[in-house]
Amino acid sequence: MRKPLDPRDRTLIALPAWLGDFVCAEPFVRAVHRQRQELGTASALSLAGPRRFLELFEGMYPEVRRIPYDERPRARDWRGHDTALLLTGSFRSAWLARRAGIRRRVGWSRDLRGWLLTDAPRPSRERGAVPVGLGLPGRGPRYLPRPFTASCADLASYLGLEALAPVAQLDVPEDALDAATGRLAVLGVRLDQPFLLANVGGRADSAKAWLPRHWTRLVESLAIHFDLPLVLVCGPGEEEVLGQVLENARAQTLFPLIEPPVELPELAALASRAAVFITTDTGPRHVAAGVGAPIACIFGPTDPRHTGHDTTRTECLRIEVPCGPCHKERCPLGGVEHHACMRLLEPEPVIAATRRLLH
Amino acid sequence: MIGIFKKPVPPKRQPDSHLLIRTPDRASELIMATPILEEAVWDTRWPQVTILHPPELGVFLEDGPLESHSTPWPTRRTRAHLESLSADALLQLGGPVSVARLVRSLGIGTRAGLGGGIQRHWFTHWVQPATVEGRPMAASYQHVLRDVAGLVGIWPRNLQPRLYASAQGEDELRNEMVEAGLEPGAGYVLCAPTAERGPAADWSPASFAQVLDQLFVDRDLTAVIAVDGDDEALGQAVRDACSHPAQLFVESEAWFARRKLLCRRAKLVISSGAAMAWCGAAFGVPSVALFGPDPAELSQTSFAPLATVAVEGLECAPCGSWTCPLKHHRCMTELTPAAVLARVERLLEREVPA
Repeated sequence: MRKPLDPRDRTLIALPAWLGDFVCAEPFVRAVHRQRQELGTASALSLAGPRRFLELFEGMYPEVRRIPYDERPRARDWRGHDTALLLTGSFRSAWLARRAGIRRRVGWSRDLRGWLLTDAPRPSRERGAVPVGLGLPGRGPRYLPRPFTASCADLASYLGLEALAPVAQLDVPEDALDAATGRLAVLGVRLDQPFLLANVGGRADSAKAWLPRHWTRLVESLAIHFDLPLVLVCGPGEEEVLGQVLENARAQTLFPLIEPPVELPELAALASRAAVFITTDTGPRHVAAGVGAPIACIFGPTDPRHTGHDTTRTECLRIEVPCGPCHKERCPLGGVEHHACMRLLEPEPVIAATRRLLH
Repeated sequence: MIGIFKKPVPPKRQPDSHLLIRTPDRASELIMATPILEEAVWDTRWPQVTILHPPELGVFLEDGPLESHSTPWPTRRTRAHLESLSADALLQLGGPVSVARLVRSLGIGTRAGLGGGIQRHWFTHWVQPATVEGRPMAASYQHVLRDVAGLVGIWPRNLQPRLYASAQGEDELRNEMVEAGLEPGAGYVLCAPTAERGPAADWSPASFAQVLDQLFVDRDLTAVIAVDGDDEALGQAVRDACSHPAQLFVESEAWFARRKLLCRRAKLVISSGAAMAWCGAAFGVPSVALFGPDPAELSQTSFAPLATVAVEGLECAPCGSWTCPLKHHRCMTELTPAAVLARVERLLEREVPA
């Protein structure tokens, strides 16, 4: 049962507050924008999302209004719309849309927010025993882990939109490219020469972060195996890990961009020119995929079903552990089991994946 | 009550695990599933994979990496045949409800599938599909198939459908087309009208002819009409309605094999069913499928040059009926050649930039 989107409606798209999901929502935004553009109603479209993330759409969808927020969105900013397409999964966003007086509220019905929505498809669930090689014993029926892009595509189909592109396509703004060129030039690296880019990020206690000692070994090995400059980046608040790696690594061809950490448009610019982008399964991975970079991605607690809609240009590196994929923010286990999904994943497969991507 | 709180136990895995995959019964759904099947045969988790398919659809698994793993679903002595395979797991991507029950009775420990109906009682793992207002949500069936395959640890890198054709078959077809008066390098549009989905899904021969004539004028594409023996009269009606040259290929036997090759060499496929459109798209040929009473959303894909056309805003569609229950047949009569041509143009602009 399809309930098409009225292209004359003033429509708000509420984008996710997680960077990876935000980027994965881009094909959905593009499909709505294309429909509006054909009918000349693109100016009646608004995008609401974190200010820092919306910078990634700079230069894209010029007619579309942005509603950025710094900490939390406010209902008064959302007023004046007829339809809200909630790509967020939170109860709060549905409540905000209702408080803002938006007549049609579309989103997946989960976490008790279905009663606040007017169009609330219920997501698929997995039942029965634990999936083979994935998932954990002892967990009851749960929403099926699916790539966010696939969930957006199904919602688009329900709204009568054409098929979405399989991956995001981000434009790299000229000023971001200039900023990246300038910063690399100071280090003696040219953006038009081949280089490896590694996102040595991750907060110290995050389950998605790879161990600093593994990063250290990896960057040393990359410097030995490949005659390419290795540019190291990290996100804001992740400088400590990169600092540790730089302190311990014995390699000459490391070029860190640490002070200040790169902004998202700058990261997109760097990734668009990198020969290979090496990262853990975090938001920057999706930014790099959006600009078409070949990616060697280190998976820890993430269920690959959540995150792999199109991994044609991505080498996914993970090991199977009895406790994973748990999809937890922090590893709850102690002793030898602590953070096994990342601890037991050594740098060698990453080097092999980098080699495959380079050839 | 105790059963509710019992922790599910992961199935025991043997090093020599053998996975049976029952493919869907429809050609379009089988083609959608090809990336999943390929991933299964490459996945080291399952050292042995046997793909059981409906006998008439085996042609879609030929000439590629799936051929050596494929075997027709036994129509006689099914139980004995399955027993002889001594499998450890079943992945049911389609087929009748009875498959899971039969497999359970054989003692196969892992049985995964789509649990939309009664068959979930015989599965050990199942996906409960998305719903809208309590009814199944019509969305990409490819996504659903991938979700189901994920239950046995199979997760394809992408969902690009893939078919293969043998050089020998292509040579034979080329010769046949030359005999029929088509130049070897000439571009053609393959038109596959079919009454397979019942009278409700019929589009008029005059409408087909109008589209084909316009494509001849605009894009210099000769019309090649392919039908099976049952639809010969329909094919002839389309050809007779065309004012520009059109070739008619009628196949009484092995018609999927011939059409697969015809799709492979076409510049564009226009089909009134999903099967041939998926076939063309799997070869990277821009393909347009016309939908009336069937839900077009099931054929949504991001991974192939496939577009669907359906009349928007009809309360009664998609009804899925064989004949129109309201007798007006608006889902097909209101589908205009102009709408189809506009969709073709949009698809070709996107897929084949000038």
